[in-house]
Amino acid sequence: MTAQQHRATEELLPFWANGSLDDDERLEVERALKADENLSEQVAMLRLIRGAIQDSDDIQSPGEFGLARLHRALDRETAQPSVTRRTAAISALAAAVVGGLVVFGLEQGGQGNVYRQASTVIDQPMLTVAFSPDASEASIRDLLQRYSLSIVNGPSALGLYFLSFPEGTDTDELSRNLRAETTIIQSADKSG
Amino acid sequence: MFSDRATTPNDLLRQLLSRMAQADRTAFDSFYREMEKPVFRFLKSKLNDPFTCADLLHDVFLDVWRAAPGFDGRSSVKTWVFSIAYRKVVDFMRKNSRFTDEDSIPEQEDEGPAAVECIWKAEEADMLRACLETLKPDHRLAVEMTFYNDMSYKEIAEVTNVPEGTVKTRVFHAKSLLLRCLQQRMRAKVRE
Repeated sequence: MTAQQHRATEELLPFWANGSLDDDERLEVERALKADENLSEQVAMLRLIRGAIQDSDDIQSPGEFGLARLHRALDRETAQPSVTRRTAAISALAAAVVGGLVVFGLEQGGQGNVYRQASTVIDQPMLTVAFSPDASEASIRDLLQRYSLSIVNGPSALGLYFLSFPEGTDTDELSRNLRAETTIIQSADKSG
Repeated sequence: MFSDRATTPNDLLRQLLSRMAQADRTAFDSFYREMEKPVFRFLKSKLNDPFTCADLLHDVFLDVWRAAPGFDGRSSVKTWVFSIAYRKVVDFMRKNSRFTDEDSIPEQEDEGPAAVECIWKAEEADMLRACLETLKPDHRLAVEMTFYNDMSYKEIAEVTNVPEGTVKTRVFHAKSLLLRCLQQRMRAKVRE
């Protein structure tokens, strides 16, 4: 194998390690691996790097809070189609900061949550919850998915969030279940 | 939640996009939950500011929602979404005069077997993660896309709009830089 071929094979190794090579390249790398022990060592190292990166899934992303923000922006965009995205986002943020905009989610015809201004009457019960300060975004996301909940507003000045839930939910049981999630939920009460 | 016909992650995402094109917000929620963390991680590998990344993430998903009806399936959904995210990052960096060509990194010697032994001994994953943080953004991005998202070099080239050879070279150099960083840290640890 020439130095150039060796380098070309080395450049393919990361993609062999992640399983994304096409058949021809995969076979080419596998032939080279059989013939060169040093390449096998590099593969072991690359797998170590891949494992460390896959395990380091601890980035704090916006999660459910980002999704709630998106719903607010989409709802405003629907209401004001001519407003640019940037303007809409800034307006939504500014409005939320001054407390002028509060949105609540309502399940409607299987089409997911639809939002409307809080100044209108709340015609669906909500849950008001406080998340534990130590709860991770991942644990909050998991809890919301398990109980089919959506954050529709919050946090309030007291750190409370409003959650919507599917129609027909037994709210007493849901509240009890949430309160039992003591590592994630500090308090859970019916509202509305 | 998903149809039985969806057999691959890309199939699942395509189904969700198809429903999003019909303004199905429930599909949007599922799509967001599938893609939010990888996209945020992608953004964070280019821009280290979590607040800016959260804003860009918001913009990316708004664009995905708006563009869903026009998705033509010529690339995988993941590649398409990351391409949108990449353009957001480049636009942001250009507006903030942070755009640099990082391909002008000099060729470096590979570290050879000694370095491979070194990483074999590097049991602490923290050390590897710390070294990942020292990589320049384009290198870190290439490594993250290769090992966290398991993307092919062709997909990465499409997302980042660079030749396939450049992607392979970036990952190759990143691996060498990681090894060098690990060697330095191991030596420093021995001296302690």
